[in-house]
Amino acid sequence: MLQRHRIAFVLTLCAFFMQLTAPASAQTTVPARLTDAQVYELAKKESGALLITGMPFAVAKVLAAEFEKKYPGVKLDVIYLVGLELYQRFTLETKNNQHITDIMHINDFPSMKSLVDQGNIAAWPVPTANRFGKNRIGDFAYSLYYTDVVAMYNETRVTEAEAALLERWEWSTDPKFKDRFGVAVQRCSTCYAPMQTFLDPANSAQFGWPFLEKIAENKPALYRNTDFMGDRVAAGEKDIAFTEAEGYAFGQRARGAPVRWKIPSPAPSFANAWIGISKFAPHPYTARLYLNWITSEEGARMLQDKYGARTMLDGVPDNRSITKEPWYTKKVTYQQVDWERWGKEQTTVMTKWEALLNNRARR
Amino acid sequence: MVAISAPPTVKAFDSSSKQVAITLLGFFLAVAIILLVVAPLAHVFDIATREENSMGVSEVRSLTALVDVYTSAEYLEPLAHTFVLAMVVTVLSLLAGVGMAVIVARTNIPFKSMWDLMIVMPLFLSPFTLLIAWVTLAGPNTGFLNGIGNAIFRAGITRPPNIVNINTYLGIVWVMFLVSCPMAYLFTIGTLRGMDSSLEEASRSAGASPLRTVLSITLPVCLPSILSAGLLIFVLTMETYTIPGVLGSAFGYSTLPWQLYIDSSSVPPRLAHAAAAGTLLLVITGAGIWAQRRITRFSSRYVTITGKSASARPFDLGRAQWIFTLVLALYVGCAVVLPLFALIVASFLKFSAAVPTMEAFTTIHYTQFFTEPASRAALPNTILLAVVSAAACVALGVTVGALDLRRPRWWTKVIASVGILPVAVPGLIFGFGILWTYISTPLYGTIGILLLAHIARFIPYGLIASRAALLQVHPSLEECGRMAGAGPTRVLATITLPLVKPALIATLFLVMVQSVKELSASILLFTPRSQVLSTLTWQYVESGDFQYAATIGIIQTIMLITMILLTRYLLGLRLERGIGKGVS
Repeated sequence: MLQRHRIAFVLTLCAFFMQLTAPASAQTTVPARLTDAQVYELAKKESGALLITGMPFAVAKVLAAEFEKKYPGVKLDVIYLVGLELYQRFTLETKNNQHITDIMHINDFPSMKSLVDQGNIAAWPVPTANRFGKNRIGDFAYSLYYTDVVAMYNETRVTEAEAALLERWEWSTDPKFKDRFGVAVQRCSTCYAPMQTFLDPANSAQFGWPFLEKIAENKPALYRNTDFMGDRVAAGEKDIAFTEAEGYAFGQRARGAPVRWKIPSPAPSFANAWIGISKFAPHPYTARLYLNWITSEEGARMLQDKYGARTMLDGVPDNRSITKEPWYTKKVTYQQVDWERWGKEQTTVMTKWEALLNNRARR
Repeated sequence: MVAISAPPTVKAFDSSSKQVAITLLGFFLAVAIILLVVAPLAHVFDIATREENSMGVSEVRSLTALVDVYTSAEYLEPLAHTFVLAMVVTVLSLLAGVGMAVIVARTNIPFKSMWDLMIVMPLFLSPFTLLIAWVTLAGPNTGFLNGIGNAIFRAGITRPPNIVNINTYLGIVWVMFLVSCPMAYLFTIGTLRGMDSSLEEASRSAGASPLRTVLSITLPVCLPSILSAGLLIFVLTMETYTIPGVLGSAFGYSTLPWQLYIDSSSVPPRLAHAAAAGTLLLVITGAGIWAQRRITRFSSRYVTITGKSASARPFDLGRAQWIFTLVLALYVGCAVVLPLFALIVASFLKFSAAVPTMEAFTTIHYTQFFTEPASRAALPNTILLAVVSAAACVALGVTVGALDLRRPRWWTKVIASVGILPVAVPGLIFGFGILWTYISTPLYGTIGILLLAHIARFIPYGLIASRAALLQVHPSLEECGRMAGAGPTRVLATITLPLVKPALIATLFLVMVQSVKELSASILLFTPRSQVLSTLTWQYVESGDFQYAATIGIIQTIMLITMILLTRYLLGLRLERGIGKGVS
């Protein structure tokens, strides 16, 4: 008995140390054009690719499972890392010839642009490339869906009349909502995009810093990030989340949480979720197969169904079930974000905004 | 005060071959400490002296970050917050933890075995999981405690005010106290159990009350253990960023570790500032570690394992034992029962809800956990890492401890001191150090890099606990063996190690528990192949799925309790008791 235990222990140790020294894969040269069938055949010979994503972990895994179901014999692992952490990890790995990541799905345009400029992203013209319009960086990266910023509210705590007010940003300075909403103190794109809209010189009469000061005076509760804030609003801790990504709100409602949302105008809608393949992908064919699939009409529909986001792919109608709900915002005035201004002003604006909120909270 | 002379160092005749063996062993240990501790810390200092750019740090040297961190209010104010919070949490944890240890070890309180397990159980939950539990219990407007309290006492009132609110300074102190309290208990219970009760009996015979006896006899005997516990709690509180960060956000409160986390994870990154803040914490907690070593040296006057047998007769509490039982039950209720209840409920919910209806319940998280490849891989990875890193930490700890105490040289002191440093650096920054040091090696991307990180982070536990255990063995016992003709290796194998075996097994378990919970370094180093429970939890928490995170917390707790029970039934060892012996 004891002998058997010892043997099992030694075998476990052997397996463990074999795993320690598993060799890394070498870079493969991929032909510029391949059919889906050819890519699939080659992908089946690979051991499984790695997608690092800033999309909610559970949703990304569901999409990976759908992909694996569509292409039996192909495997896709998923890791969740957000913007900067993802960027830093990938650049550090690439710089040190540690090629582990196959596909990057990063929620930050400047980061993806920087990776492309550094030559770390492989060119791969997906079959639907021309249907992405401006929402692509050459043949290197594609933006899969719009990030719509919404005011998510708990339907048990906000009346329909109050909810109607949420379609304009001015709701956040209305005394009716004093102490009833939350703001995330976080430097995320969903948090900054509305700031850019408020501080756009074209909107200075309507918004500007005085507007932001009024929001702070309306006693919002502060949260460390938008997801935590969303969870607390779903639970009823606060009535409204000032800014959430529509995909997150959709996920909460899909699970059964009593939440709805409005898209306040002017709505900063933007191409935020960028996907591309590592130039040094150890599993290049699986990576390309996934990119082909997620940028296809089927992928776009899957993103609508599972994540609830408006897809970028031109020609795919917005068939999301929520758009048919009576409470869903029917008329939105969209305002495109200015990426140049984003790069220049984000840090300064967010630092000032955080200080404003924190000082108010300390009072 | 107990007057016991300091144990003499064993004078041994060293033949030249033994000298060579010791030199080789010393060389091996020095290399290990350099690879595990010195190299990552050197990288932290390296990054702290670089110029920052929009996506990280450049090659250009600059002292800007160090000057900013050491002189600006942006960092010194959070540092002051951290210091005050650490002091408050340490004092409260010591009062409650030592108090409970005295009750369990020195009185005739019933169900001692149960209390031993229950009081240390909060250790099984990671601080983040405990935080989720308390947000679920005491969140404003939503916490179960508010919901139940309002239903009973304020029925019919629209939007009643909160009975409890975790998003306050008191909330931060409360959760941190619950995290730290078991440490104070563990560090003192072993000494209290081992002490000779004749001292207390003498005090009682001289007319002293039980309270006075405890204050003037019992506590002074374990003063070194209390101070050691206090220092460790202080250091660990100084480096915790999740609890003060998440709860403090609500009222604009920030601590230095949270500032450091923001610096390293926000756009634009301020990695040099984060590394510089890490060095600032290293300086402060380094001073604490120096003090801890001084205390440990002092504690050699409190040897509890000698050739003379000692009895531990408990105080008779009489009728008061039920009052003390109630006090312990109150603590266990707050620290164990309520959080576990909240986590169990949360793990069966589809979404967070203050008053969940039947439709909100689901078993999907558990089904998902046991069917998903990532989760299935995380469980054995976690166990494997915990076992191997714990064994390595204990082996290194005993070796360094034995050399430093029984054959002290200047280099043994250096190795023992440097080996403790990782406890003084926030895990996140130490993780960066490991990442920057080993990213270009074949270890990166494998579970080996996580193993290395875990050993490096927890080697201080092995060193501190092994040293404490070895100090409690009076050298006279080893001298007897040597006089009977046994060599040093045989003395170590047949006398010293058997005497400290319970303590070492307990240390093994303590490191295993810490390894299971480790997140700060793991999050920077994991891949799908090396996924562990803590990184899996983090990914769900960060993407807003707190229910799945609660499920993992419950599975983690069940796993650790199973390990305790299996060890009890298969090996006859009571780990939860041994822990106290191990770290005192």
